[in-house]
Amino acid sequence: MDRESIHFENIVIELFILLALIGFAYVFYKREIVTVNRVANLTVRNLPYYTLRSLIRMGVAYIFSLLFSIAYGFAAATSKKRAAIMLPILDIFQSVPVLGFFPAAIFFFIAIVPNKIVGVELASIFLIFTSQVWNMAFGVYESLTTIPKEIKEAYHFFDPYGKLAFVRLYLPATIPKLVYNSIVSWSNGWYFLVACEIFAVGSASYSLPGIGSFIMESASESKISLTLLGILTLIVVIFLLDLFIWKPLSQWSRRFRYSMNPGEEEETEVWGVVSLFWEFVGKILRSLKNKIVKNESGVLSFYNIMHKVFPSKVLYAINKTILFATLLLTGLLVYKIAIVFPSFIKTIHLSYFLISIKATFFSFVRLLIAYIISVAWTIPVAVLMFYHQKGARILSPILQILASIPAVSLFPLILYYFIKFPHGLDITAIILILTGMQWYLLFNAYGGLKAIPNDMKEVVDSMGIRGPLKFKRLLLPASLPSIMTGTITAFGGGWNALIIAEYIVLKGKVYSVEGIGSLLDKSLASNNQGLFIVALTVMVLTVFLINHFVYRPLYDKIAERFNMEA
Amino acid sequence: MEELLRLKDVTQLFPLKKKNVVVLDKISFSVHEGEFVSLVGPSGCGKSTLLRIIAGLVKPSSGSILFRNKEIHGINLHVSIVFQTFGLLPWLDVTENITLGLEARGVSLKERLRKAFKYIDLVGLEGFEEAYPRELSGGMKQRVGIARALVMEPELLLMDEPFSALDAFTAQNLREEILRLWSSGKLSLKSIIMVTHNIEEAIYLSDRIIVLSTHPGRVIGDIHIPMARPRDRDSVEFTKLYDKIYSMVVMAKI
Repeated sequence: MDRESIHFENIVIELFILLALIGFAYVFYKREIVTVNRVANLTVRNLPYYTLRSLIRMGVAYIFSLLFSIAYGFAAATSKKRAAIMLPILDIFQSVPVLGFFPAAIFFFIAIVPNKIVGVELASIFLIFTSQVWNMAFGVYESLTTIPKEIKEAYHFFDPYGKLAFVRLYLPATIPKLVYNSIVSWSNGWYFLVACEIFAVGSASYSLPGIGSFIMESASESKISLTLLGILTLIVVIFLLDLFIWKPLSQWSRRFRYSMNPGEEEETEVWGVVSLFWEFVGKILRSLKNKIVKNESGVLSFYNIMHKVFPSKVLYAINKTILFATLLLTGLLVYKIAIVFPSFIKTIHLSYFLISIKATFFSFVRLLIAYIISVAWTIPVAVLMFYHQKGARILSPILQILASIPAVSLFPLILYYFIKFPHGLDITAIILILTGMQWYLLFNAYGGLKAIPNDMKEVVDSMGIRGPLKFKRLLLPASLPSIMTGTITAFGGGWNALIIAEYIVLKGKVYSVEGIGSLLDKSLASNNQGLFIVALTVMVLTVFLINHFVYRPLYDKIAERFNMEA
Repeated sequence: MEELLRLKDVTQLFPLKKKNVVVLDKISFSVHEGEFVSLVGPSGCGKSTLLRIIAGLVKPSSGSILFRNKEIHGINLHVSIVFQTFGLLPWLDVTENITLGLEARGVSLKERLRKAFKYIDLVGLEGFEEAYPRELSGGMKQRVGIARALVMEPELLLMDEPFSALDAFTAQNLREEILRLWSSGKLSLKSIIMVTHNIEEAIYLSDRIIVLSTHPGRVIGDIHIPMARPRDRDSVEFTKLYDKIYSMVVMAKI
């Protein structure tokens, strides 16, 4: 099949998935005012407890993400048929602003779980999960499909029945990407965690106790020292996690890579204390393992375990059941949509579309302004860092810490200062989008510049090409693919930021600006189901269309023209 | 000597733009015990594919492979293979890489280690038992590849351009090593088939050279090398053979 027709097929499949998602949001639209236990005790003493609540939420979501992404990536990588449907699903979830579906998710989980608090808790975990899992699943898929041919062949020759394939080949092959993407997923997760905690669903007050809601509550009660303390706590937690988990993990993951070209990636520095800590943990784990695992041969064999626990017939049955269940659920959803469709049509006015399109336009302008500001400062800074390596070495970690702060956690603080001004919320929204966008651009641009091969730099320098000409002829073209990647990611983050930034309830008072985010909230607040669904559809379709008809062709063109690997 | 392997009308088609290109066209030959055979031919003649068919990694479009007069389906358990770019798993150390095949066949750890150390010794990898592939030079990596193949104690060893990813000096060292192992009598090995595009290497090492043509791949020559080892590359006999095979390969391209 040629590329064009695959592309077209993907568009069709993705549109179907989008429709299913919107259908889901529609079927589970139920307006119900939920008041859940919110942050009640705004004291420093309770801060550890709230932080722990947030951490547990993150941890649970991450464990689910890890298991799911391995299963999903593996399933997609091992069958072209499955990949044809599973990859577009990945694409959609990675690009669509999932936050827009949060209300539907809350209603869904409240509908299926009797306890409302647990329902909202599950909805937030689900949302964090969706923000983490797709990126990781794609990493697994990518690593499995890019195992070098000769390694695969050699493996297959020495293990023809694939008895150890999972633990000896597939799982190790996924580790470098899985660790790398986990780091990205965690920062996504933090963002969504805080977003879940401070999200306003209509005028209904629901609020999960956690570090995010602590920051929000203290800001809305003008206790700015508590707000700052909350943000600081969050930064410290993120910093410690990075130091004790992600740095050692990415160091460890390097041994699972196929080749190592010198200077390809900077050695991650792991502090002595941290390695001691892990050596200690490793010792404990090994002694535990030696106690439990007496019989070494065959223990590690995933194949054996699977086949002992599930004989092949049972495995086959499980496989078919999953397929059947998926079909059944899809059928059920289609049926439900079909039933409510006629009444849905009645609730829709043509004007809703116009309102939604106009709102989307306003939101898009906000995104563009934030993007232009981002580009205006990040590209020069990236070039400066490129020229002054010494300075960059000092600046880089500081910027990384700054970037790791989930932008939404700053939202209450920014809001506190700007809400009094005319257009205060507008400014806040743009600043919030900016804080979400700029880092992607900066790090991608800098990464692209650093990746310029030495011989290319030497050629340009030897000809005495400097200043603007060097920028125009070498630096810009070389880093353009990375900048484009940064742009796409930045816009993805921007759309999500809009949804919480355009509408805010402070002490019962509603602040809002015209935009698609506030339209979603307003339609919920006024219980206008038709408008909510139309707004959601317009937003999702806009993002979808921009993705397919602006980013992707542009990206392909840039990648083709400016890629280093000729 | 007894016949070890026989290829009968092995044909391989490759779908390209809705048409089937014939990569290998009715290849037939036998390999006997005690023979070191090289497959030589211009690039694209399908010699590597043929080796994979013998190993059972690739299923031929038609034709059959007989090992000791029994037809082989799937991976041929009596043969073992050495890869051009080594195909070592970066996350396993030298010992683990070498014993991978034994582990997959359920051999106990003790037995695995015993065999591994024997072959680590034979190929000269002492002291590197716990090293990871990335810590090794190309030559050392290929030693691991050879040990990994030998530890399965095959009767027939297949080598797919085993020295072409190495620098000239290392490659020559390893060639000598292979000859030393081959003539030492310490191996279970009965025969070797090597794919190469290096004619000099083929004459230096093998008892017999099979020359393949390209588009489609056919056997166009089957030449015995009667020279005694060690062979002198500057001898008249060597040069004559070289010129003969070289012109065959050049003609095969056209």
